[in-house]
Amino acid sequence: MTTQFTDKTIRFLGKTENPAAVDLLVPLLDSTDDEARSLAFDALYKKKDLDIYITLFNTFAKDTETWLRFECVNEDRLTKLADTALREKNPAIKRRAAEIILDRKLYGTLPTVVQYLESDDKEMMAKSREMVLALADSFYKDLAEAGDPLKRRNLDGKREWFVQQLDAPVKRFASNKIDELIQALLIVAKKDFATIKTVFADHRSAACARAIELMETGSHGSFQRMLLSYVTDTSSPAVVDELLARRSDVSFVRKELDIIGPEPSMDVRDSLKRFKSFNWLTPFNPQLAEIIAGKELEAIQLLMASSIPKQNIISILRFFLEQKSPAARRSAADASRKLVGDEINKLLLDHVNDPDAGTAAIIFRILKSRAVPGLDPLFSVLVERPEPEIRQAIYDTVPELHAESFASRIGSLPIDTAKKLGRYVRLIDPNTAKIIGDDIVSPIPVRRYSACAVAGATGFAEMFKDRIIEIADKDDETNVRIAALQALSTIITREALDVIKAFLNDRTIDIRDAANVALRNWMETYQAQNPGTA
Amino acid sequence: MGAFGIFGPRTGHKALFYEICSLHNIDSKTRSLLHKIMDKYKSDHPGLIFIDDKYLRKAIDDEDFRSSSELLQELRQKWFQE
Repeated sequence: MTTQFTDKTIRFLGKTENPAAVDLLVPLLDSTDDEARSLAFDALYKKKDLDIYITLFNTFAKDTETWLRFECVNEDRLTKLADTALREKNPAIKRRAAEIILDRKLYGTLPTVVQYLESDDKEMMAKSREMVLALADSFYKDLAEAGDPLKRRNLDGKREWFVQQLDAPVKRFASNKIDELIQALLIVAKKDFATIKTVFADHRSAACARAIELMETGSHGSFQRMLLSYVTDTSSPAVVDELLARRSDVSFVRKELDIIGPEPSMDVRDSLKRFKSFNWLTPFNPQLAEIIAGKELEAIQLLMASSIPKQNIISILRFFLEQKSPAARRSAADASRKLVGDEINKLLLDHVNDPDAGTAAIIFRILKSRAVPGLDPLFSVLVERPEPEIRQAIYDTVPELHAESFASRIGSLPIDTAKKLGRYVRLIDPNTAKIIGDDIVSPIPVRRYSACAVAGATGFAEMFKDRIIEIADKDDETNVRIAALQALSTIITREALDVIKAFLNDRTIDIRDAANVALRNWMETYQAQNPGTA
Repeated sequence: MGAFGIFGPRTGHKALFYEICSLHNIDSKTRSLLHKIMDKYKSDHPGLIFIDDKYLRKAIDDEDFRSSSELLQELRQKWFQE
């Protein structure tokens, strides 16, 4: 147990300039009293003497587990001790220092480690190469695991320092050929660090060639990270852009697509203009479907933002439109609005009846806006589809099928055309019944007329049956009564039949004629619905 | 503090012993007693008596220091047990 007396004595021994104090302090390092050991360590460390550092290092190295429990043994002090030990002549001490440096991630020893890279000490030269790489790897992991923003900022500060230590030997790579240097550099550096810029500045240099090779085939995650950091960089070196365009492995490209994202900013899109091709982005790539799975939009964004020739874009869009994934087809359809010409129109016509309603709706809108010939036959198929997206697309692009427009024109349409369009109007315009309901009670005869005609053509007559019968019977306008009788002929019920029959003896000849026509129409419809009946 | 004082060098174990005595305001009589103890036990580092209580423990039972036994007991108590 340390007493006030011993505590004061040990602290004094730490402060005194009398070198004899060391002889009293050193034995305390082996004391059974932890407090005395800790105080002695602290007092000795403050002597700032390299021989004492070695003594402390050896003491620490003998029993690291115990010493690490003491507050006096912090990272800075340990770095200083290990760094001193690493400079020792004794190989055993140097080896142990190397072990502790790696175990405790003592990045501060890097300048000394780097000095050994090109030294004559063969053992340490080999060891230091291993250490540089291991320290870089540890640092990379620390960066990846730093969740706390403050910790991350501190590490970012150290990061630049770390790379600066590598700068000089990296510049001598052509002569020293220390591969671990380039690896460590790529592991720790950011693309905007001066050393990295120097490496890529001369694409013929050995360092640049090796860095490119590592980013192309190296297995360390950081090599990919470094390469990916250039994806949206407009000032990236040409040699890196070539590699970005060349890499085709699924996992890399998918990460690349993650960076672009489904809604890239203008800056990102602009940055992609520098690419004229990507090896993976071709319909002939057997892995393309796997690459784009779940990232179709990102792939399409990349395709459309790049400078890939239009002919190739169309063939890639065709591939997307033929995929099973609706997302792939939909994103391709959406992108195709940026392309004009017969070829893209032909491609869209081939896919306008896509099973995915969203895709079909997008394509229909594009084709309709371009008035592409050949759409009409496909229109009659699309209009029958029940999906709201398609109906909305038709509603938005074909105003002729709005109930109001139809009502204003129905008087001039041939009966068969009116019947056909009436059915479409009912499918497309959800306001049809409301418009009929408003007009059928209008004081304006032409509105009542068109309401009866539209009710008959769209199949809504049954809904307004009572009002239609009332109009047929009592309306002041013969034309309106005739329209009401025509509407009644579309209601295939006994009641409607009886009403029509009642008008066969009307005092107005036009109404009698209209009743005859209505009766014939009613019978034809009834027989069509009930074949075999008289 | 310089390397030399008025009364001689301030380095070495003897000087350190005096420095510690001065630190703890140990009177000359006690200092002399402590010195004698460390002389008898042939320690090259007399200052160890302030760090390691084995020297006082030994002296307490030592016939040569019987007359100072009480003082040594007191010092041991004060330095290493309080």
